[in-house]
Amino acid sequence: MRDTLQALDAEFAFQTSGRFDLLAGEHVAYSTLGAPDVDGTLRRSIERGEGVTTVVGRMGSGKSSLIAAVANSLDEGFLPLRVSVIGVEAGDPAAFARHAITEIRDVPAAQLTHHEAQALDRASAEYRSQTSTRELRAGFEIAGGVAPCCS
Amino acid sequence: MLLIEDTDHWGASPEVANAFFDQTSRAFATLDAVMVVATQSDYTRREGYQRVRDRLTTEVSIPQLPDIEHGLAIMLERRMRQLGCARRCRRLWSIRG
Repeated sequence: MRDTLQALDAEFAFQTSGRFDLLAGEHVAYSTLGAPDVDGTLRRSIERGEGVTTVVGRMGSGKSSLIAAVANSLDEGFLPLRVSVIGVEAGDPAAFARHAITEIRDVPAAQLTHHEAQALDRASAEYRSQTSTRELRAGFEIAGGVAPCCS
Repeated sequence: MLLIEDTDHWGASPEVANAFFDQTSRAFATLDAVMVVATQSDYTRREGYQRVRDRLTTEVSIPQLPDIEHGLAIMLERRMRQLGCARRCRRLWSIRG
């Protein structure tokens, strides 16, 4: 059995999909695998609603699938927005903020996961109704408004 | 909540990762938003990361599996179930296993 698994691993049988919308379904909670409950740790950190959380591991260790699974399972008050680091001056906060806003505003609906699409719909309705954006805990407030994605 | 999960692209230019953590993540930490950054282990040794480390909400480290064989089997079964081949593959396991 071990030889079979190792052979499968060597042939990348355990490599997750590159598609973010499939990663959540492929993820197995670490507690199920007998490891510490980092899924819960990440969830609780996000639910604090502020700050920067890092998920640290070597390339291919499961960082993205962990993030996808937790992001996909958060309650409706959270709006997960993926921002690519490709083609941006990553060390310039202003440039990165502009890049993030552009990416969020311009993301084609077809590239959104079901969870993200639902969250964006809710955020848009919230914004149009002029109710408090503070209720949208993960709302990305810039210059006094919710992110342009939601306008 | 901003998800930054493709930072492996910085692998060839770790100084970019350094600048991101030192400048951008520090600035974004002050916003009314959550930022989650997938971070290669190597990046955590960079000065920029070290400088911002004590300001992180949480640093989640991907754990080692206590039983790799058991873990890989569970992961493979999950993947097979998703692909709709659970029954066929279970037979394969019983033959091979």
